[in-house]
Amino acid sequence: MEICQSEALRYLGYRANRQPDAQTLALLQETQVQLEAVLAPKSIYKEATLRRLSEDKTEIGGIVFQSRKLQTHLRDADRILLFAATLGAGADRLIRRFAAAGETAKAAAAQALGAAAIEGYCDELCAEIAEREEKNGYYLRPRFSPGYGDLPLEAQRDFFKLLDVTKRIGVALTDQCMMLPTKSVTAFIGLAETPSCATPRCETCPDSACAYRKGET
Amino acid sequence: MDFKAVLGKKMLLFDGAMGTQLQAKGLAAGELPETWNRKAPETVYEIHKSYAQAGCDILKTNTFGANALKLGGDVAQLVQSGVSLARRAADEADHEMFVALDMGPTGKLLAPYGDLAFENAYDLYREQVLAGRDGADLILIETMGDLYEIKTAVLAAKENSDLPVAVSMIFDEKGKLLTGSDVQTAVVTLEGLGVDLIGLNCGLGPDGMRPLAQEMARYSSTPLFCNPNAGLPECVDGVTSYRVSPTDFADALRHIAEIDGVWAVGGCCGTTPAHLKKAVEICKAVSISPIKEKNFTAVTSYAKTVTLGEKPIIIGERINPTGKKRLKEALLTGDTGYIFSEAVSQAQSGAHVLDVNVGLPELDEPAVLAETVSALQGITDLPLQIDTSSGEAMARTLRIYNGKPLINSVNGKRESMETVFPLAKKYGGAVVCLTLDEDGIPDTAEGRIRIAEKILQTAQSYGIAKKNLVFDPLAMTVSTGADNANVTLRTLRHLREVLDVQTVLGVSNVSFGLPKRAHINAAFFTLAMENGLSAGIINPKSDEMMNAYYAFCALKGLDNNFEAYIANATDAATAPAAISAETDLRTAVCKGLKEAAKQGAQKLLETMPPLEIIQTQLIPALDEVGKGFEAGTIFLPQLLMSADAAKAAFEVLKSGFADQTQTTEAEKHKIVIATVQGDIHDIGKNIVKVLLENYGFEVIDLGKDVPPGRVLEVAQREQVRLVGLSALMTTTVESMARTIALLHREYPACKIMVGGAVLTQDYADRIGADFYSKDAMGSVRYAEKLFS
Repeated sequence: MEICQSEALRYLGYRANRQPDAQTLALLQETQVQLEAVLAPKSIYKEATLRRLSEDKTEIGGIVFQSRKLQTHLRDADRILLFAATLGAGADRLIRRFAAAGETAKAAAAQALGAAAIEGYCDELCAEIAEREEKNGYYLRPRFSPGYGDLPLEAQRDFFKLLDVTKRIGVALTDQCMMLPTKSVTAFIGLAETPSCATPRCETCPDSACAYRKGET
Repeated sequence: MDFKAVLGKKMLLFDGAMGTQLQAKGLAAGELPETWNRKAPETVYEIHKSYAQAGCDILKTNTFGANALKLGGDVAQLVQSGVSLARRAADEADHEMFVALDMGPTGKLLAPYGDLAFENAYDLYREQVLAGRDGADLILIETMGDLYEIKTAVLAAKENSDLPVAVSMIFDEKGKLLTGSDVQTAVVTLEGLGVDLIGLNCGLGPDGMRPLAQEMARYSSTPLFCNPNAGLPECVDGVTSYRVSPTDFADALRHIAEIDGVWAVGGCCGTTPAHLKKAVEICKAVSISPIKEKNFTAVTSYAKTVTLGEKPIIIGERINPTGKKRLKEALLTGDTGYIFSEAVSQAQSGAHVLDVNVGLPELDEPAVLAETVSALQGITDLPLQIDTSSGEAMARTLRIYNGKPLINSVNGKRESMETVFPLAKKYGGAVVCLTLDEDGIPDTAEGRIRIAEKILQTAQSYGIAKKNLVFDPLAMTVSTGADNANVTLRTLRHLREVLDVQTVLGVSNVSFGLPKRAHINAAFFTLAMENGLSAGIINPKSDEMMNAYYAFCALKGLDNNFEAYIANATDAATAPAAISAETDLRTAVCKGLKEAAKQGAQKLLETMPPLEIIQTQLIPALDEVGKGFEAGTIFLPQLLMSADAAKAAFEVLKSGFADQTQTTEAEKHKIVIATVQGDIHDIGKNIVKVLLENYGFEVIDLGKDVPPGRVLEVAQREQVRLVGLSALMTTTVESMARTIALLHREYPACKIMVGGAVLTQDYADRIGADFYSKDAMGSVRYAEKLFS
């Protein structure tokens, strides 16, 4: 798994064209080695049935999800995948250990590298799926997760009923529907017979003041 | 007949999948299979019956997910009906059959990592055991991925029924449980808990399971069982399917059944009555072999095993307040950060196990020991040695320990053995046995050996195996008796060579009253290892002790290619060089150089009082960095490296305070900080904490997922004027709003600052916060302004 360092730097507050100093680079490098040693990436996906019930109701695998944004997102799709991936509990433990031992800088670096790692891991997995599906004439839509737009985070509970996430890859939900290990992703992925024209997510996001927005200076 | 009477007489066959069968009969996606015990009992019964007709010996009840978390209510009814449906099929069968009360994972992760408390998990399983024990012949805890959750289920089973307990786990292709435990660790821990059958289920298909079963067999002195899937699940047209045919499944299963120590096999997901019929035909005839006792002594954490007896191991002695002012202070003020850093630094120095002792008369030892051990297990994967003379503290801590610990200690006194051995038997553990009794410590080796023999015999009467005893021949101060070290060494050799037991020694006692104690300690340590010491309780941060250790291992052929010796030697050579570059404290902090900052502080202490160092060196350095951060010329990692360096320098200065007689530290301004209820993200809060501490504020850190009432309670009790709240997710900002409302209503004198990724000034205003901090420095500036 490739960890994109520039992505990690973005999470650490480095906006476009700001370069880290040698000591920060060394910190990232050292932390990355320690992080990679504890990663136990796992993933699972399966296809589910997809039915549009109304403009804000979509039935996926027999369960109804209410979200206008999800519906829009899936507008060209006639198939859908349920997807989940995690880096495992080791990353969280490492971050906790750093913080506990007074290595706050490393904790923050591991946090950022971990966030970059899970995104990169999901992208790699999706690229593999895309390659397979393109042979069948299908194209992947970007990942859409519970908590995006008007799809409430509580949709996680139904998502977890449809996909055996806890048993298969060890991701559990807290009472507030957050995932543990924290470096985990669940998502719906639409499959359509036309290539995606989706632009990078940051540019389509309405939050132009976001500190982590890409491409801003 | 009793299940235990049949177990070990012949190969037993578990049944196959229930869920897959129910799906074929119309179980909808997301529907809980257990509800069919009420909705379609005849269907469930028919499935049981088809497995009975296939010739299986054990039926698993349809109660896998029947816990209150998943079902809501109705646990008792659905479990009872589940058991009676299987019972009916078993009793009607044309051969003797057994019913296994099936319990699966709760679906939640346990605290401290997750949000389900240990005792709450226990209660969920207890409810299932109470409902299902009548009518069942054994309890099957299956598809488990977390040793800690298994412990709650096993305790619930054993404390609420007399039924035999079988546990099977799901390992990944790397041989790890989902929470990271390896096969040996799982086996050792479950044997400690007294499980009757240990096994594997689900996960990989029968071919993938075989190497794992073989590995289990290498370590296990307990019979094994394996219930694999019919291959790996594959998704075909949106439907999960399993491809291994009945014949292939049965052939592969036979290979598992033939492994030494496997006493039962069966199926899991994707297997059908047809699979099990074939399996019965082929596996039933496999003869089973008696269990061979594996005689290694081992302790575990949640993740790994440390074995005694191969080469000496290091038990870090630093987490013990006796004679350590700084640790004592940390324990009394609840400063877990200092205790954590002691744990991490000992691990980095090469400790294999950490001793944990919190015995101070001012403390509620049972509560503090259990809390400290639980917290330490959240940050270290080393096994722990639970060190207490209080039976209650030991009982509470053994109950919540994740793994199989070292128990320190029992001795030859009757009362001690009567207290410790039942606990060790129940919870598992290797017990440190001190060779002293009612008459004190014998002066002779013979006297100590006699006590060791007495302890050994008594332990066996409690069913505790010899391999789970580690004997301490006791190191006495050599300055009060010239033969003292000799007696210890002679006892040691006899224990190891004649009694054939593992040994442990608190090494540093030997040098009391002598100058340059480290010289004596290191030499004695080497002598002890040569005379059969399995584990030394020492200070791993002492170079002399570790040099002695690495040299010994290198000389005795216990260090492959001298790897450990060379790594240690290289470390020692490079470390001082990096520090020796004369960097003053102020520069070191600005540049974020931790070691240089410590050295700088140490050096300054020779000429300057600690308070002056803080005022003239540390604070200006931090300010310089803070201003750079605010101006956008310095970035978060640099700010934090400086903060960590400053904190390390403070630690040095703190010991300067502790050395001076009662330096009255200026009254600190207290701030309570917390990540709000429901939120588990605490990195932002931790960053704020370090910065605030560096600026001289006393931070009371309530951790993450903190209920509003708890924030109020502590804020009021400590009379703080400022509370900092953090929330990462939109969903938990609501919980932040509730906390603010409660504080404003009940304790209006207190100001509240907030921060977190999704917050904005506007949002913070709407939920009534007094201050919105856009970054970590913002909170420092606000606190400075408020308290100025």
